[in-house]
Amino acid sequence: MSDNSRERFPESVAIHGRRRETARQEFTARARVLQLLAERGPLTVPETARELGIGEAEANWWLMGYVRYGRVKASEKPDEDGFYRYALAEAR
Amino acid sequence: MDYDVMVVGAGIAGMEAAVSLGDMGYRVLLVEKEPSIGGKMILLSKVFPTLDCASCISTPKMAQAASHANIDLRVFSEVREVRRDGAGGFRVRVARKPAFVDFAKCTGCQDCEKACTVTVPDEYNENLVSRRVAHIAFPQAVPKKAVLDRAGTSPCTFACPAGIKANGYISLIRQGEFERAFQLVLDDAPLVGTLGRACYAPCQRECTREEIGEAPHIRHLKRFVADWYYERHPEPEYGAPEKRLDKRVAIVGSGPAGLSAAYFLARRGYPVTVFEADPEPGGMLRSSLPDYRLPKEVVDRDIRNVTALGVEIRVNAPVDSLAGLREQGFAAVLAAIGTPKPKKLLVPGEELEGVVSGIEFLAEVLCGQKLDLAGKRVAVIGGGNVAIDAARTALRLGAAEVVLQYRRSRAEMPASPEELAAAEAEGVELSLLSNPVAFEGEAGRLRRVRSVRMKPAEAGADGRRRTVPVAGSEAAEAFDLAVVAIGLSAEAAALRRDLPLARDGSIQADPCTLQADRPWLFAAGDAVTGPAMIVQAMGLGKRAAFHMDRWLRGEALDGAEFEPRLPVVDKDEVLARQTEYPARSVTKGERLPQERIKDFDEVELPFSADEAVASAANCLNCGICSECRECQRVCPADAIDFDQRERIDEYAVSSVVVATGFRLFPAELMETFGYGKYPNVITAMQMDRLVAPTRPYNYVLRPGDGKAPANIAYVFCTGSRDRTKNNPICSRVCCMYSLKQAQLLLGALPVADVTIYHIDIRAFGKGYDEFFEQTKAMGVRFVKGKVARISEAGNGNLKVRYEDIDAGGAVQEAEHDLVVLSVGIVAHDECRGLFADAELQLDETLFVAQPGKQVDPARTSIPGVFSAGTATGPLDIPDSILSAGAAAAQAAAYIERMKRKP
Repeated sequence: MSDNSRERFPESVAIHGRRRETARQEFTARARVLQLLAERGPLTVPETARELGIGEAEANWWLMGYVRYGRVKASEKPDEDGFYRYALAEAR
Repeated sequence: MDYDVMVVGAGIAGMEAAVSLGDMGYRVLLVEKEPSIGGKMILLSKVFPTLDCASCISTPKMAQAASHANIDLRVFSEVREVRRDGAGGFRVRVARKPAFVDFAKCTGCQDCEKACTVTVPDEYNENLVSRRVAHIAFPQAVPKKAVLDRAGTSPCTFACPAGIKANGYISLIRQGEFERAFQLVLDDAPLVGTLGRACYAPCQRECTREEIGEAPHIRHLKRFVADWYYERHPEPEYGAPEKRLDKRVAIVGSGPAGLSAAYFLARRGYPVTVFEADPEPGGMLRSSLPDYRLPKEVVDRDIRNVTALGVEIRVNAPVDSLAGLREQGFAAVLAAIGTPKPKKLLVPGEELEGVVSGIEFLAEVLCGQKLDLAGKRVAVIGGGNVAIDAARTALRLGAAEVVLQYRRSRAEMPASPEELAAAEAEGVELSLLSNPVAFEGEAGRLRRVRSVRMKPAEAGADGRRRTVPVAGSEAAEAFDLAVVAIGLSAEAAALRRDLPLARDGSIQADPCTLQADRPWLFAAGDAVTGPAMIVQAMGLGKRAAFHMDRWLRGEALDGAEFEPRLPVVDKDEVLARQTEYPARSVTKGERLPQERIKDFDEVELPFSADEAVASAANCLNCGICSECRECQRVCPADAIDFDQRERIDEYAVSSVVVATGFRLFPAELMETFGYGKYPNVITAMQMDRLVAPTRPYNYVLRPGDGKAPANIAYVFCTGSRDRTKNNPICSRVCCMYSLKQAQLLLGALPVADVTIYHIDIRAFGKGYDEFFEQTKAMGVRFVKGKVARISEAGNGNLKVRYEDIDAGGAVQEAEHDLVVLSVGIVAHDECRGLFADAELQLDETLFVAQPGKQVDPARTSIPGVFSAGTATGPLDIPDSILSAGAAAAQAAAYIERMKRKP
């Protein structure tokens, strides 16, 4: 057994790498997502993913990033299926 | 002693120990590797069993530690070495990591963060969302200062002789900021359109993505932003700087080096006059680069970036005395005269009509002389870029056949591989290992080129493999035109009295400062280096401007660092960050060879905006920070400092308290639980972020699809009490933090069901069992049974397969829409390596060993070194604080004993 914590309990490069990749693509996807929300919003995460042909987890990650930095806002309540809707935030 | 004690780690235990010791009157050095103190506790939602707000408890302690009169706080710093001093104390080395932000100026406004163009997973939000590379760790950070993540200089940027930040402008293009991308290039080089077309792009060769495919088309992206900007701004938007200096500068030559130097000197406020012998400015850009590679209207527009600053370019103004310019009142002179003089083959017949130099041939065409080569056979002699340009130009003038003759092999051709490939595609034939020995003519006009076959021989003094003639291989071949393009040299003879020249005719100047033998005289560009890339000449022009400015201001040139850069990032390190790099294939368009040889229109087709963004999106952000400099542009406090470097400080301390905390068990090591595979399987620390006031999402949502979860499962003892995972110990806190989260979830999601799968519940502290009972009473369902496997059920829901002990051990399956893994605690054992000459002993679970724990808590294997908090093993917050108190008392006693030593 290794006497080094990082070796004994290694973290997965694949998992961290996938997150890095999703984060790396966030700005590239932004224009498409914001345009979609401008034209068709407010949309839920699955609706956004479906419209853009992307994964729901990616759509969620990116939308949350855009919410965080004030580009997108969420509805106050979820719909009956438990999904919030996202729309463009007012112009900064 | 500089300090009585150094505390390593400023989590709750480290802060408590530091404050306690500070209150006792001891001088404390508190070192924290993160940009903020607070450790993991500040990131928690609430604490158990009181459900007090973690931030509300932590922040006063953080403020106390940061402002205590007896505590010197070093955040974003790492202890590199602790060495005993022989008298009971220690010498410590502490590295201040560069934040690239002047903390004294930073106001914490986060403007840099909002403007930053690179996103990475936010470790302070447990990687549930992105943060920016320029960032403040979290809203309650102490100190609330921004830091920039920089791994080094990206290989593309590092490769650019002009210091153009390729990663930076690509990053701006990626987010559609085309104008800012143009401005970023313009900050480093005025001839943006030229470089976007005619640069041989050393950045591209160094691009890490070239090793795995689908590299961004770096040069073509530069062309895109230049075209985009010039279309919208036919003229520069700026004028001469308001501040005008009184020392005039003369520049001889208006090629890339001269124009670049003029631009940077004029930006600094110097009145600059450029003297150009030709009728139009641009040097080689205008006289030898064919239009199909570089349209002259692009050169014109680029040059207006220089003249807009008030630079005067005098054309038809040859200079024959540099000293004369000095006498005319110019305080400094730059010789940037290029290499316009063609080298000769020195073989018989070179004077025949029909034998021309490459540079003359191209100049004639470019100045509009109508040459008709229809049906003619043309030999181009040489293997460099001028030869390629001449060959492709001859094709466009209608030549029936163009043969490029080179005395070495293809691998040794100095021409750009891309240019060579384009020439071959257009029909240029190669005659390799062949060298002309005579031009034969009739009536003074070329008729044949007599050549000899060559064969490789041993390397010459320059290390380059030579070739030697093959005996008896001479043969003559009929040609109508021979273009000799075997090299260029400076035409500095007229200036010989002013300039020290090397044997090859190049100007001798200091390679660093570019100052010549007279202090007021500088030299740059091809005239110094020999023929080189445009971007190299521009880089030298910029370098010369930097040193001329220093000289003109009376500052020393020695030791002045021109454009300091971080070391280049290791490409292997970049590729190891991810196991895969998905990419979108983007092809750079070109006109078909059979079409493009009919005219001199551009060969490369421009990118559309979508193509540019897609190509830019393939960039790997090797340096992490792209150096787009948006943070610097928007910072109202001028706090961004890209020149910061790591600094090592050394201190003498009497004792050390190790409070380096813990790691969470990596949940992905439980392969059957699907963490990292199923997005709705998360860790309890992630859930703590989701329910914290500073949470990553506005609401409690599952990461897989943004749904508010209605049916949540907790799986206890994930990676703890598990010998199969090498972690047999109980982490002590998992049961209680999960109960806390269950209660918080029932508050946030009143209709949600929460199920806890456990082996047993360990609620042993004061008020803990009551808390457990309260949780049960709130409706949380407890299932005694070990979870064996988690799989996806569809719609992002998860099937939990478990052994139901209360049902006689039957294997059951239940569906949930979110699963939380209550992960255990493992050791953070990096502290062990800090001690250079003593061993900090660890226990079998890799936590810091406390040999006399029962009666002598906090003492470690090294006299004078004490441990606090979870560095010693799993502890809850109250126990961490108690252990910090013990460490502080032990350290105080040790310090007092040292003071009483004779």
